[in-house]
Amino acid sequence: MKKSNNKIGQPLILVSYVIVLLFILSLFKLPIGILNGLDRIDILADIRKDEPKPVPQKVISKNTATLAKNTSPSMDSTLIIDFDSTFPLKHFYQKLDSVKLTGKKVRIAYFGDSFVEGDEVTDELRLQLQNLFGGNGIGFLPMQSNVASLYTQVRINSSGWIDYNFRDNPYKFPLGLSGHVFHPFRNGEADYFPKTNNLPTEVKLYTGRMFNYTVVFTSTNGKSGVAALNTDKLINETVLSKGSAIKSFKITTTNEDIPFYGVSLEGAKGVYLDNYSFRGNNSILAQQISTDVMAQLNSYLHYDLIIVHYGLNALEHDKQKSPWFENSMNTLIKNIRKGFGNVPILLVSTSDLGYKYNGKYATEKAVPYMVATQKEIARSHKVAFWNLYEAMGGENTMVNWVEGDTVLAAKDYTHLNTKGAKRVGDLFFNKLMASKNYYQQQTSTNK
Amino acid sequence: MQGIDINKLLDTLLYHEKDPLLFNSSFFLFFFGFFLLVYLVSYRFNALKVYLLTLFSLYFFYKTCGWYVAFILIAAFFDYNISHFIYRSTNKRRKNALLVSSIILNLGLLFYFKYTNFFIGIVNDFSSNQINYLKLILPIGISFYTFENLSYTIDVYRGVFKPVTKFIDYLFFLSFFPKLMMGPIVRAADFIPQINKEPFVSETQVGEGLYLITAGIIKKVVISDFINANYVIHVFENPSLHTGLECLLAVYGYAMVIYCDFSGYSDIAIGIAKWLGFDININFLSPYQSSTITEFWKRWHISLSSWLRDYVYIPLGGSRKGVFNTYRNLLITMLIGGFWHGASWNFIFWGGLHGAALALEKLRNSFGRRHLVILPYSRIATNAFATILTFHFVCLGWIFFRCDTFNDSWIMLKQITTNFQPHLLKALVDGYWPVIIMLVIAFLLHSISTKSEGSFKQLIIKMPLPLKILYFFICLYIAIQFKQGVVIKPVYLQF
Repeated sequence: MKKSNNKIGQPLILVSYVIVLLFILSLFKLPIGILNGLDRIDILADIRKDEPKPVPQKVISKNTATLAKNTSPSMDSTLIIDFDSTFPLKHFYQKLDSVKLTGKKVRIAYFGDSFVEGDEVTDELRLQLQNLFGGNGIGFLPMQSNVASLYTQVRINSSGWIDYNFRDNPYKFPLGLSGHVFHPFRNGEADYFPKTNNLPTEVKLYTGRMFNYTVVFTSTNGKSGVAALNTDKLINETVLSKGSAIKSFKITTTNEDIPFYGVSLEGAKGVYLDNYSFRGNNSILAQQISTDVMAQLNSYLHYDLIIVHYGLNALEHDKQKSPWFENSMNTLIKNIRKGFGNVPILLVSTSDLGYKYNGKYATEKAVPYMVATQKEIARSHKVAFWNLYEAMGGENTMVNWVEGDTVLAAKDYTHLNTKGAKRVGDLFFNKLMASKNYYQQQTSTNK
Repeated sequence: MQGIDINKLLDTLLYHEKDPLLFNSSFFLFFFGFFLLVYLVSYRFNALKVYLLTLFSLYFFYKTCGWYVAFILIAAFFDYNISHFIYRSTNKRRKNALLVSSIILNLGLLFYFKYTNFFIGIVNDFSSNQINYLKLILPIGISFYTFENLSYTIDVYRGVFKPVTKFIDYLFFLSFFPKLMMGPIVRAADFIPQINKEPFVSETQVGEGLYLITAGIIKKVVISDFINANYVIHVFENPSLHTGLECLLAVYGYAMVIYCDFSGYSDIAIGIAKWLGFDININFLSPYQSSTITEFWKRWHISLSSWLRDYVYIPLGGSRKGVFNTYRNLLITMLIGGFWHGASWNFIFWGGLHGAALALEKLRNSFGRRHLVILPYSRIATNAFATILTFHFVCLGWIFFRCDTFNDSWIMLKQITTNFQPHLLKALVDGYWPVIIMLVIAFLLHSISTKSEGSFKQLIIKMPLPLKILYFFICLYIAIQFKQGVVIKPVYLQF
C-alpha cells in the first residue's frame, strides 16, 4: 500500500462539492417538472427565519351590521354563531330542554363526508346528548355498510344487497338521505345488534314505492314475524316492532323489487342523531338527494336540526377561493330549505388538513380560506355556523394530532382515528352546550 | 428566501425528541462534511483520531436520543471491565459468574426499556389489579449495541480474543456512529483490530462507499419512504376499510418498504465506514431472491441471523443433540429473534412462523429434497416457483410483523382471502400508479443478478472524480426531491 494511493481525502471532496452544488441549486427554481413539479430544494430550510404568515383576507361581509348584532365581541370564536337575528337554533335548544318534560323526540340529521364516516364523531356526540337528554338507539342505519367496523354503537351483519349510491346509480333510483338505496339480490339480509347500554325499543323500516310486498323479520325480545310494507308513497315507513327492548333485529327478504333505504333503531323519546356520511362528498353529490325525498322522510322523522359538514373534499391545494363550492353549497342549502322546511341548519366548517410543505407537514394553506368561505356562506343564508377548525385547535392541529404523544389522527393528516373521533364528538357536544348556555344567557339578559 | 436564523442554527445542534438525527437529513450532510474535515486532519495521529471519532459518535448518539447517551457509556464501562475480569480470572466459576452478571446487566437494561410495558400488559390481562404503564422512551440503538456488548464479553469468555487494552478503543467500537442506530451488528473480533491501524482508503473503497451510500439513500428515501407514505401506511392503519386487493398490494408494498428501509440504512452505514477506512460486513443480499426460508435468513439481516446462530442456536446445542432438539433450538432461536424486533406478541408470532418454516425445511432436507414442489422437466421453473412461494411466505410473516395487533393481522388476511374485489384493479392503478410504478421498479432492481450489480459498482469505482461528484449530486438531488415531494392523497376505491 503506497501512501500516495490513500484516497482518504476523496470523500471530503465529494461531500463538499455536493453541498456547494446543492446550495447553488437552491438559489434557482428549475422549470422542468416531474411528480407534480420539482420543488426548489433548500438544504438550509431548517435554519431559515420563519416566513411571515399569510393571513386570509377577511371575507368582507356585505352586512357587517348583522354580524355585529349577532355576535358580541366577547363571544368565544369556537362557539356556534347564529347568523339569523331570529335565532332559529334557539328553538332547537328549547326543544332539547323540554324533551324530558314533554316526552317528545328531538332529531338531528348530520350530513358529512369521510371525516364522520360510518358513525365516527357522531357516536360520541349522540352518546353524550342521550346521557343528558335521554334517548335510546342509534337512529337511522343503512342495510349494509362498507365501513361496518366504524359503527361503535351497533354491529351490522348484512349480505345480499346491491348498493346503488351517489357514485353508482345507473338506473337513477331515488336515493335516500344517506346517498344510498339498497336492492336485495336473491337473499337480502340485515342483522343489527345494538351495543348501547339503553337498548332501542322501536324498529322502523324505510322502503320505496312498489307493489304490495312483505318482509320477514326476527328479533330478540322485540316482535318477530312477517310485515306487510306500506307501499304507496315515494318513501314509506313501516313500524316493525315497538315497545320492548331489542337486543338484536334481523330483516330478511327475497323480493328483489323492493328498494330499501334503511332502518331506524330508536326509543319512544329523547335525542336521536342520524349520521348521513358519504366518502369523498364535497357537497355536490348531496345535490342528488331530491327535495321530495327530503320532505317525505322529514314527514316521518321530524328533524329539529340539520347539520351540514363538508369542505375537506372541496379543498384545492393553496387555493384561496372555490366559487364552485359556494355555488354548490348555495344550491344544497336551498334544497334543504325546500325539502325540510323551516328546520334550523347548522353549517360546520372543514377540519384542519395537513400538507407537506418543503418536507414538513403544516396546515394546508387553503384551509383558513375555506373556513372563511364557509362562514360567509352561512352568513349569506342566515344559518348557524360552527368553526370546527378553530375549535379543534386551529393551525397545525392535524400535525399535532398525528405526531403528538397521543395519536388522534391518521397519517394522511386528514382523517381521525377512533380516539380522535371521540375527542371531536366530545368537543362538539361541549361546544353545543356552551353555545346553548351562551344564547340562553344572552336572551335572559335582553329580556 | 429568508435569511439564516442564528437561534434556529444553534437549536438544530441540540437534541430534539421529534427529530432524531438520521442519515437522510440535511443536518447529517453538514455534520458528515464537518466530520470528514476533522477526520482528514487527525487520521494520522492515532490517539487523536480515536478520541475525535468517539466524540463525534457520542454527539451523533446524543442527537438521536438525548441524554440516553449515558447508557452507552455505562454499558461500555461495565463490559470493558467485566471482560477484563473474565480474561484475568482463572477460576471457572468466577468466570461464569462474571459472564452471567454481564448478560444480566445488558439484557436487564434492554428489557427494562423495551419490554417492561409488554410484561405489565400481560400481568394486567390476568389480574384485576391494573398496573400503570411506564412512560419509557426506548434509547435508539440499544437493541444493536446490547448484542454487540454481549458478543464481545462472550467471545472474551470463550477465549476467542483478548479484551482491548484501552477503554477508549472499546467505546469507539461500541459507539461507532455509522452502525450505531440500526446496525449492522458488528462483531468486536472483526472491528477492533481495525481501530488502531492508520486508515487507508483505496480508490475501490471510495467507489464502493459511494455506491453503497447512494444505493442506500435511493432505497430509503426514494423507494421505501415513497411507497410507505403514499400507500402502505394508509392501508395498514385500518385494513378493515380496504378491499383484499388493496391489502394485498399493501403487503407487497410493505415487503419492499421494510427491505429498502432497513437494508438502505445498513448500506449507508457500511458505505460511510468504507470512506473512513473501516470494513463492515454486508448485511443484506437481495433476500427476496431466496428460494427457501433457510436461504432467506442467509440473505436477510445477516449480522442478526449470524449473531443468533453463534450466540443462541449453537449454545443451545444447535443440530448436535438429536433431531427433536434441533427443531426445538431452531424454534427457540427464531422466537427470540422475533421478540428482539419488538415487544409484542405479533413479533413473537412472526419469529415462531419463521422458526417453524426453518424446522420444516430441515425436515424436508432430511428426506433429500430441496424444494417443496418439484415441477416436471425444469429446474428453472421449480426454482422460480419456490422463490415466489418463499416470497409469499415471507409476506405472510410481514403481515404479523407490521400490524399493530393480532386482530388487524387477521382482518388483513380475511380481506385478502374473502373480500378481494379484483374488479377494482383499474381504479387501484388509476389512483396509485406512481406507487405501483415505483414498486415494479423496486422489484426489478431487486431481481438484478449479483453480476450485473457488480458491474455497476465497477462502473462507479472507475468513474473519474468529477463524474463521481456529479453522480453523487444527482442521487442526492433526486432523494431531496422525493423527501420534500408532494404526497399522493389516498383515494377511495370503494363507495
